[in-house]
Amino acid sequence: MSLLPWKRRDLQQQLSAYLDGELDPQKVPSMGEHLVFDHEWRDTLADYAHTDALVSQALAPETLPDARAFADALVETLPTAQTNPGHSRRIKPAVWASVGILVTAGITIAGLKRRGLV
Amino acid sequence: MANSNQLSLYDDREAERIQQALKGDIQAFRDLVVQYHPLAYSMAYKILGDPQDAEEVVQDTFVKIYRALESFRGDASFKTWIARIVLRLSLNRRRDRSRSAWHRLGLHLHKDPDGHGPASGAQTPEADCISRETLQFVRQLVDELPEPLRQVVVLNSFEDLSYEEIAQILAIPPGTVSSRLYSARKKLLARLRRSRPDLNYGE
Repeated sequence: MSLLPWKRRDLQQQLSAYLDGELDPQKVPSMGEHLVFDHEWRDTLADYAHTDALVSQALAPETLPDARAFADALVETLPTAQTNPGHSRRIKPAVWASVGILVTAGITIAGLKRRGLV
Repeated sequence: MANSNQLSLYDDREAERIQQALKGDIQAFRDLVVQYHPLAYSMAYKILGDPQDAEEVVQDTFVKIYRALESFRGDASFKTWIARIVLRLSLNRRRDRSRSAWHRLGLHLHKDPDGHGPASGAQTPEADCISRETLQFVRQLVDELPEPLRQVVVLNSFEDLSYEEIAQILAIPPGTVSSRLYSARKKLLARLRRSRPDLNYGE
């Protein structure tokens, strides 16, 4: 296969997309021709497919937990999860009130100092 | 494969469930959890390789989704939204985990007394033909890929996720998904050819 390196890379990327059924439909016939007439492309496609199969098996969970049991257990906790005050970052009104009192007191004292009353 | 009518019915049912869940219908939300649990769990497991970690990530994901349901605007599909959250939480957990001494010392790769390593692949007849050792080696190769390549490999292992959906989950163009997958396949193939000639790769 005497292709320029960039052309070769482009075609190999197309081959990878072809394997996933994601190649632009307009390019599929030309890829089909490469595969029919060139065993090297067929071998590469087979190697990609083999690698994918290995990866799928290697990554797959051995078992899937029961989705219904999971969902049942989850929804039981949800109403509390949504309104759990422990997760709230809102500042409580009492804290705002304390801050307000301190600021007011500070302004009053500063005003009295300015007039020489303290 | 579902025909267009079936697909449309399916989408309608899902849209209805989402609407009901938004109105506070806990049963509708439960149905969405049942529908998407396999995808969420498989994705978390594929990234983390640990059932316990995967279960915790899935639980956090659905709690997060329940709390954020009102902010779901339907710009992306519900599936893409869930996948994005699972991916982010799994990557966070993986990063935190990699900092722990347990993982830095490789103790999570312990073998049990029967010589079996951690979970490694579904027990299908084809899987039986490939040794656990081989599957563990392949998982290690995937783990060693640069993070952007690893992410597309994991997501592409879900047959029902298109390049377009993978692109939406990762917030990258579909062309980038294609080029990263090609690079990842090339790297994995090169490593497998070099390290495991017994797997009968051509050259």
